[in-house]
Amino acid sequence: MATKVKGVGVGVNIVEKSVTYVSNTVIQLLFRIAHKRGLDPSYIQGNLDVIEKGLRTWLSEQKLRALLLQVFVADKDDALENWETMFEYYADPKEEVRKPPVQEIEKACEGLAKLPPGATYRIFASLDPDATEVDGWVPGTPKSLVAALEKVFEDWGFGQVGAKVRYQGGNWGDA
Amino acid sequence: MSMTDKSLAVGFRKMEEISALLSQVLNEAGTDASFAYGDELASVVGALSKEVVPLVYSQVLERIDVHFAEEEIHIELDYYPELDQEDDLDTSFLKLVSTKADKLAFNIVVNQEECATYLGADKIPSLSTEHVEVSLVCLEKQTAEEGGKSSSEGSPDNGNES
Repeated sequence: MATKVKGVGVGVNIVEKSVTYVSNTVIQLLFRIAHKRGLDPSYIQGNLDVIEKGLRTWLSEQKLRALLLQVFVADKDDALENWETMFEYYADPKEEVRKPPVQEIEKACEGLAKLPPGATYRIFASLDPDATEVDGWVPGTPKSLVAALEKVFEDWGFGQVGAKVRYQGGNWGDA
Repeated sequence: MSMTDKSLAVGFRKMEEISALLSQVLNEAGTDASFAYGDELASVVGALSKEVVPLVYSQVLERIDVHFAEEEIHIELDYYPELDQEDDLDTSFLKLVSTKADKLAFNIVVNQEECATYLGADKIPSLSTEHVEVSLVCLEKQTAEEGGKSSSEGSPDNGNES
């Protein structure tokens, strides 16, 4: 899962690369989760620039605590699923490039029961209070979730930033 | 038929930079192949480089193949490059083989057809024009058609292969 990186610290901007790598992989997972859960990708595609700008800004500031993809049906009070990417920041940069557990997450998605008609999703960022405002992001509150099941996947990252995905929901197909 | 492998390191780059680089390389390939329809090419490449963005983000795009006359260039996307890895995207060698192309073809090679279609890649062939053809190719199918030959993974260590 891990690839040793050569040449760390020799004329390269580790902070920039770390932020870009984690930002790219988070967006990769958003697409893959939406695909495997049968959700329309147009929300991510239509807001790609905004999502990327938010990720890059807040990861650079180390003010992004978590990014939540919440699945829900509009007229229901409770959400159906939370796919939350939680971030960690390291004072001592990690020299390994750790890949996101894409296959494990996709496999887990396939093991879940099919979402009901009308299921959609939104993305929420959990920030430190003094994080910079980014155009396109507006205040929002996720729906509550009664989670019968939870699974945390292997962490990944590079440099100063690490991340891991936590699934919370109630319809684990084979559980 | 002469084949050349090139590589583009994705992992530590912003997507706008990747999109601009792909655009530049595909246009340069046409210029170096003395392709006479530069405006037509630029128009297709401009649209194509936007269409492939979600495919790159999702890591579904494996490579872009450029075909013309007797030449074929494979531009592999390396999603987990070494930190200090440099691209190998120079197409100027095409001038040396004195190729003159009146038609160019791009194959957008994906590794997961279902996910690519989900992300709208099935619309990519409609970008084709009279002199520039764009096709979507699924690596799974191509591999099966080649009798189980494993697909090329990762980036080549050296540039040219004939």
